[in-house]
Amino acid sequence: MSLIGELKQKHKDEWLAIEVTRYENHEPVEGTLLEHDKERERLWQKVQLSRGKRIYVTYAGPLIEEGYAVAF
Amino acid sequence: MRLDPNLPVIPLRVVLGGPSGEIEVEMALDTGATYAMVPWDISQKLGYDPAVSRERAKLVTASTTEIAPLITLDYMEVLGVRIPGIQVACHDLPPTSKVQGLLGLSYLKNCNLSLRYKDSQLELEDCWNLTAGPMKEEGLT
Repeated sequence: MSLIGELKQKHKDEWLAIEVTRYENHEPVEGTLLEHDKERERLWQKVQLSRGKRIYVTYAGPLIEEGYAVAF
Repeated sequence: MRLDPNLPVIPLRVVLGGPSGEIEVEMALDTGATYAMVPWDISQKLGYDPAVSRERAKLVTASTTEIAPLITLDYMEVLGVRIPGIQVACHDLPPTSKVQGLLGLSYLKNCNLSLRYKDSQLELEDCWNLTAGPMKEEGLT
């Protein structure tokens, strides 16, 4: 198990799939890294769900690229 | 929850529940979206098949109108508040966005939402499941 902040530092600018083992104030703080990949689609292809297990999928970098504004 | 005024969106971690399990992702708060929006691949991973959904929504976006399938998730959970039976539109966001969906009104209308930028606080409270009565967890921030 690792701190999620450390996992994001180690795999900067990659997509991570993490089985979370500890939350603090609804925030995932610790977990086991299941998969990581630079490509979002490739990561999702590797993610395997099962009942009773929550997988947190996140990007280890800015959610919106620098220089961009957003209008959905 | 603490708001970061320097971010270009308001990201919220959202748990999505379906027949195959549950996934937690970051979504952008969007009070201008009728439905929560989930990408096709995530909805398929959760065990749904948007392609065979009989329900469709015409989505009016900033630049165009598109048709997207609607599915009903087992539940969505934000800040510990789980609400069953949330209808979402299946539609992909551009690859430059690393948020994986929009948290729209199909979830938000079940709660009181307060955005207090001056205090850097977002509050989701007095949640009310429209089909089953008051939710157990209230006043979560």
